[in-house]
Amino acid sequence: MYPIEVQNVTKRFGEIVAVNNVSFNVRKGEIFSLLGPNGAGKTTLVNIITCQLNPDGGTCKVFGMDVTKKQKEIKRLIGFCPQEIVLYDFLSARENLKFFADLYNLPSKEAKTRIEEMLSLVGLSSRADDKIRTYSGGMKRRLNIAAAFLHDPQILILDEPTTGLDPSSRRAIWDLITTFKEEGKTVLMSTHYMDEAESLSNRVAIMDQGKIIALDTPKKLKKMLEEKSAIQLECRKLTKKAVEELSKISTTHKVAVKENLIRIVVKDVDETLPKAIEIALKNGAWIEKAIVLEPTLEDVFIKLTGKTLEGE
Amino acid sequence: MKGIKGIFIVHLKATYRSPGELFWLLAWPLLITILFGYIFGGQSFQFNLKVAAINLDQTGSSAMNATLFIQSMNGTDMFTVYEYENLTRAIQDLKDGKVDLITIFPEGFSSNLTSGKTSRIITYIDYANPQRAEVARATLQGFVQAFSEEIQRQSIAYIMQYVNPASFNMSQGEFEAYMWGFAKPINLTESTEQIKSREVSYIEWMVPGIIGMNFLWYGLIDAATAISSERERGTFRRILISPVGPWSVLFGKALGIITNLLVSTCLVVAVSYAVFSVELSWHPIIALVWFLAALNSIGIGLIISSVTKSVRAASGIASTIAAIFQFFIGIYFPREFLPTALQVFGDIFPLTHTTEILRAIMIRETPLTQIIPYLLQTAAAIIPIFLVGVILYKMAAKRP
Repeated sequence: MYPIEVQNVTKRFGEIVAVNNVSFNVRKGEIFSLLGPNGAGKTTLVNIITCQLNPDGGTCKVFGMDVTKKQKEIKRLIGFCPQEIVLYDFLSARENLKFFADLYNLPSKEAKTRIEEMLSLVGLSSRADDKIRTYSGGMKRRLNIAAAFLHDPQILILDEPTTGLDPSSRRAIWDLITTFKEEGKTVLMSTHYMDEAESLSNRVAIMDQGKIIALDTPKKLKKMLEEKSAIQLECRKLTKKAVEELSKISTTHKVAVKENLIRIVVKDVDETLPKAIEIALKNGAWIEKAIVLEPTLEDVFIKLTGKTLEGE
Repeated sequence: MKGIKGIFIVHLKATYRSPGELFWLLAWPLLITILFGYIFGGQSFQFNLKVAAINLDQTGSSAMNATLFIQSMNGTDMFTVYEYENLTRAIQDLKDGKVDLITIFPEGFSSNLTSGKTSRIITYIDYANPQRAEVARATLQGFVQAFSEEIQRQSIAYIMQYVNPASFNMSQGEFEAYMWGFAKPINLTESTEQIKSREVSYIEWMVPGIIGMNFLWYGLIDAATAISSERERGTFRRILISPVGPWSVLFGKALGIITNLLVSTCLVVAVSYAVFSVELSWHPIIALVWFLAALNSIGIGLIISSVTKSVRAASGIASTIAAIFQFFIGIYFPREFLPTALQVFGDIFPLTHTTEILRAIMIRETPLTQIIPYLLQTAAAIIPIFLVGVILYKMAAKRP
């Protein structure tokens, strides 16, 4: 029995098919990521697994229990951390955690111990009695996760856990998720950050337009690419013309552009790198740095969908 | 159960840690109680009217003359009399608000008094301030009546010295009563048997109204925003992902709203007792009426929160309802003062009836046999409102 079993699940909102015949299982003790751009159907799927929405078709089970039938039992086994900071800003961290302990009916003594453990785990013991309206975004996010973790659930479900955080806060959240996994618990995470999915996950399901278009370990997913390298040019100035010309280098892929950064997945880096620099310079780009990297999950996503994770 | 307790405690903390909420819960009813208590008073009004007196009477050789009348007016706390020489200046001062009324004692005032004829006093009152003008007119009328009675008494005593009642086949007492019949054919006497349990001051009358006002203002706004704020904050969804269901949320919130209203009610009663010595009659059925009023507020609040998408919208609608209906439900003045068409607004609003029932029990000590049918009718109006609110809440809770 898998902690989470999703079989042919479909969910429609009027004409829109948010989740389209999706199937996968999440194994015990793994970190499983749903990776995809906004609107891919990740959050809808998470809402079905956490008993907030009933599927229109298919079945979804948590530890063998149907999400439409055994909601109360399932909710006890799940710790859910939403994308938004869902806490009371007029309460302190301790008071917020006490509220969540009450929601999960933790006995007073156990609640007290767990609250202290959680505060220590997320590094907020020294600020435990301050109102959280005085906290930074990263501190609130850590507390948000602590609230989901408080009742010692078997499955932790995180919806975009690091959206909008600075790199050090993201790293702190990743450490927390890893700690949870090390305790033998199962983690289901939705994210649109490929580095997050790649660094943390045992397996990744890539979603687009309500469907799972690929599902495997990050390593195996990257093996799907014939190209073995990615050239990344960091420019002070990147012209439209340069992007257009650089796009022609890769016959199989669309290039990924983020602000003044362009990324091209290539088969033969030795041959392509000088050519790419020449094309960029000729077309008005000012290159600051040229790096050769391994392909990422985003490159896999681009190969599969022809789009970037940002939806370009 | 712990979930309900958690939601209840958070609701109370949200209230008591928010200065805005505290204002509406505690400061506003307190302010209304104290202001109305001091303005309209636990005691009766004490007016001192400034009177411009013009004495044109030169016939006052006897003791009973215009000067005595003026002195008598000055001798009371009700009047301060200023003697004027001419009417033009007196009228100007009346217009300027320097005096409240003018009394003119015309030529022959005193001689008429002593010769058994009717004396006249001419008065001018400025109706630019209708309330004060009305008080001035009534006070002067009352004084003239009391003064006239004194003259009647003296005149009858004077006549009795010179008339032999036996010549009319009457005793002394019969003859005097006969004379009083002439002087005062009808005597209006207020019965000493009280139709209410005790004397009621305006502030005493107001206290049940202020309790009703709490349900209207704070109760409605708190109930309308209780669920909306959780939804807006995202906590409503997160609570529902826990084993706590929507009924527990509703129960915890309702408990919080009821507790807040109870605190507010106790504060109003305590302050009105401590500051204005307001003593109200109590009966266990008050708790039931009070609870019905709370259910009404919660029901309407739930309806509002179910049809609005933000705290701001919910609070706006609740405030608008409260601002309009506060004038129709008999908080500040009896509903009978309103034009008949406007009284309908009060009639359709159940809080009007809970407030009236509270007043009937607390002030008039109306027997339960009269209260219970009225209470049942009111409950029959409130319970459907509450149920509609609950159904809409349940439907809204299912929305993603």
